[in-house]
Amino acid sequence: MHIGEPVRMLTVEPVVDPVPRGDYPERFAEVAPRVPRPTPRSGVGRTPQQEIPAPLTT
Amino acid sequence: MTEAPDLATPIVGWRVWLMGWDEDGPTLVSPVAPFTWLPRVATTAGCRAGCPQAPTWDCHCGLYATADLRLVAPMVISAGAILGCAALWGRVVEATDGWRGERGYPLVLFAPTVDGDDRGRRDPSLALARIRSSRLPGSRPVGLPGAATTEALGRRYAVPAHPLPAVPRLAVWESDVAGCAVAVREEAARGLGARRLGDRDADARFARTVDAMLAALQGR
Repeated sequence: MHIGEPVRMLTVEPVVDPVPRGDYPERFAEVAPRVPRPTPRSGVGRTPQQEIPAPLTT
Repeated sequence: MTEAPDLATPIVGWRVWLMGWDEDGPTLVSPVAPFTWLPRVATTAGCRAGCPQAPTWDCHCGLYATADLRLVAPMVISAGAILGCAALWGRVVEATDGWRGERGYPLVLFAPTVDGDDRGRRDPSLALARIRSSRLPGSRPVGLPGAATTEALGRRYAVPAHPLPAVPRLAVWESDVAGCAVAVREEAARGLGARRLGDRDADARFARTVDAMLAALQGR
């Protein structure tokens, strides 16, 4: 197969592996568990909390 | 320092294979350098000229695929080769009419078939016979698989595999099929992640594009 002249070199790293795992299609791929996000240091970038009015009581 | 990738989804292009056979069933064999694409394992390109890491810019090594279905249609028509979309990734040389990739795996297959049994399919010499017969004027494909073999091929590689009971003339490929082939190739790449994660809608979208192409191939 003649595909012509080279144009550019690419580096391709798929996020999802194109090769089906041993359990596909009976069982699908799994998404990796979420990594807990770091919390900001105290006092840095914190937005003031909005006061929620207390419910009216009779 | 590691190199930042240019793409996070694989390149997808059209290519052909010949059908081989091992003790576990049918396999896909490259038609030029006769090596087997193993089921459920990424195929890695090698170089007979000695390139340390195929593909390289000024060599011809790498796993080939093309954007234009018409470049591979003659192999399907005359030699009964198996047509399919392949994902390419790793180092990929982009050319004017296709790509040469470092790693590859099929995503969907279309196998010219005959009705009836699969007699003769287990003879590995048939692959060579098909190539040789394709070079002879007026020759006909020999040893085409049956629908059951096509199904086994799809199950083994865990990809959709469709029989092509009647391979159309080249004129059909150039008119109706070309547009459908673009849609199949694009959806094969775009929906790959979602399909692998079990998204039924992505499966259905891909199946619709494949059905449209099969209908165009059969002149419906």
